[in-house]
Amino acid sequence: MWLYQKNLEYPVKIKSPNPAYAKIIISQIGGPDGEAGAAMRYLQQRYAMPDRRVVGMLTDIGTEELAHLEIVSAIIHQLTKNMTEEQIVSSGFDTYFVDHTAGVYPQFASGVPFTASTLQVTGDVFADLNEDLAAEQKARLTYDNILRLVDDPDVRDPIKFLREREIVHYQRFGDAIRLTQESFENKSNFYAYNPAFDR
Amino acid sequence: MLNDRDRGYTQRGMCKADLMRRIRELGFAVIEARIYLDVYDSADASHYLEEKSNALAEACSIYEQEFGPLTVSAQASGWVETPWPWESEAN
Repeated sequence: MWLYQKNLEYPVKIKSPNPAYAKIIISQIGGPDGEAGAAMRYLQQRYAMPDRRVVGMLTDIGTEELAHLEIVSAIIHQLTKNMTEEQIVSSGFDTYFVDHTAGVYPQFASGVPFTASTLQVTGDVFADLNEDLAAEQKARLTYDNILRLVDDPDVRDPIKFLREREIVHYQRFGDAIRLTQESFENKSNFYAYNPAFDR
Repeated sequence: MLNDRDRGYTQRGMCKADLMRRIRELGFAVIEARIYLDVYDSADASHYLEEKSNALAEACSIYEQEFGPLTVSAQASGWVETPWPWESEAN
């Protein structure tokens, strides 16, 4: 189970509404490399992981991704709170607004709804951990792309925090692959079968 | 364990924003140390985690007494009345 704590992992305090920014940043909620997919991926990969240390890491990083989902949602909420009708139309936010108003819906920036087809749970330790490394890099580069497009320091600050966390998670998943490789070192060519299923 | 700064908060009747900042900092230290310790065996990191998580528990307890609940199990009232984390005034 999970216990909720009633504060953000990192603060979000945005003074100026800006639906143009919300339109792109929403991809880090329900987009192809967003936080909803990250949390779902890691938490659901735990069950077939043979190494207890890696299960611990997937639990703790998966939980942190839920906190990141809430941070990005706070950014969208504050960017769209008190926006004017003129801002909605001129920013191109109108196509989102018509369906979701100022609600925070998990979707790609392009409008595609969040889908579990952006992630995998293969039940194979090396396949899953390599996906996790790629996922952290893809999320990091998406935050970098957001930073190329956003000037407001109130928005950039929490985005930079989230970007840094992708790098740390990448490092930890690298450790997880190395440790798992070491635990199989007496077995021959463990990349040629599924060590969690084949005996 | 409380450091001097936390004790200062309790004695001064404290600043809500500063105490929340302290809770976020300690919470972050706990998350980071926990993830590190999942795969590394380190007495230093274990000691660091213990110190930070004790300080976090005490800081949360002070906050809850003064400003309202942070978790569902808190004794303090105000779970639905105090600002939610995504609201600007909570940050």
